[in-house]
Amino acid sequence: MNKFNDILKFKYGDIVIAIINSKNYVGFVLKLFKEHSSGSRKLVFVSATKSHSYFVDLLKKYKVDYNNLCFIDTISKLGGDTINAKSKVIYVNHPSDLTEISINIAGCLKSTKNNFVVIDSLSTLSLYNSTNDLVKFVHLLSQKNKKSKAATILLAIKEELDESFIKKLSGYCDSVVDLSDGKGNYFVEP
Amino acid sequence: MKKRNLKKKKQDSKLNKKSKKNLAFKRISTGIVGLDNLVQGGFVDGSTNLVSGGPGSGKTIFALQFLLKGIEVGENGVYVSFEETKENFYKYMSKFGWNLMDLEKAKKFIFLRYSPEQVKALLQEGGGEIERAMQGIKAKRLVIDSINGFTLLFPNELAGREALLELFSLISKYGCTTLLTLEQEAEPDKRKASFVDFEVDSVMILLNTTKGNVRRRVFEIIKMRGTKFEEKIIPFRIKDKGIVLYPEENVI
Repeated sequence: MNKFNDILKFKYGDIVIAIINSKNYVGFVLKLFKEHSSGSRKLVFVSATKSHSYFVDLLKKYKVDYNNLCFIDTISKLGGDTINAKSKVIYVNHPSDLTEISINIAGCLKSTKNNFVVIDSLSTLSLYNSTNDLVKFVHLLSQKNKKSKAATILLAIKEELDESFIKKLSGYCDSVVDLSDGKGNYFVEP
Repeated sequence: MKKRNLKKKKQDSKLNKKSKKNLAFKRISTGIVGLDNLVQGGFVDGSTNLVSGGPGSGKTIFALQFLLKGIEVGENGVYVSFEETKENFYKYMSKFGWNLMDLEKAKKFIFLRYSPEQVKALLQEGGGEIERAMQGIKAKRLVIDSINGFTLLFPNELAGREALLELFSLISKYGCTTLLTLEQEAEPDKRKASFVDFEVDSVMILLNTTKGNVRRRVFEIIKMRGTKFEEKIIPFRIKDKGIVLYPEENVI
């Protein structure tokens, strides 16, 4: 475990909701990439908020190595973006295809241990899925998480947050961490 | 005296083990990734199995995977199609990397295009092209894709059912394991059982439907005689190398 995880107080097998504000979104995601995209571990990043090409540009700009990244893009096909067939990205047709997202996360976690999974974000997924479906998804994810010993962060954007929704989900998570004040060493200044 | 008893017990135990072994069915791999573990290792050797589903649900791919798995383990296969021409079939299936022409040349695989009327004639006369094909390559696996055309040839359900039994009786003489496909569009819980369901050893469904903006492909086993099977709706995908089941996943 590294410092970042110590700060967030979670260990492999845990699933945590991290509440951030929209202003710090990019800085937080960059920090996640920096901390987890190197070494023997794998970072599995499920994007519903921004496309893969957006993140590639961002990572190149900040010179972050993304070779250990398993990227599941649920938004590019929906947005009609050009799909790079040669890239290693896994494109899911629609952010409401939670079964497909789940299958692909499991596929990414198969080959290595001590992986780190980021779902970006609950706020965006809630636009395309019912609360019940998302709760089911998180419940099943938490079960698998324990088995695969992955550490999972579910991002939630403060401004788009439905508190009752987070309350419902929190029962299936190990903790909810509110980082929305923007303080602490969780962010890379963009 | 004690020694004699012990010896007898040992002999009884050996006999029990032997008879249990004889009672257990021999299983053959289905060829579908993720399925064998759900059905005690595979289809029962010599059984007649049915996979049903709507258009585009993956029945033909499923059936061919079953034959190709057989070829991989030294059990040659015959594919009887009522619909597809050989040329189209070979072309479509080459997209999965399956070179059927090579297998045909190696005398491991035979594709037969049959009209339902030909099968009807086959029942009346016996033998025919299917039998020649089965014997010619010593086939252990047979696919009939699809059985709908055949069942429609008969004026009523009873006649169709009788003919089907005759067909199964004919097939049983070949000593092979058979997979039939059936076109049927239905949600699993609203599915109306076809009379074919009652005559076969196993029934499986491939469902291709939508929920909102999402296409859902799910698999379910309805029955499998002599087999403890997973009673669960399982998501599946048609991947580059054919059908893959995800038994550990749930449909959300």
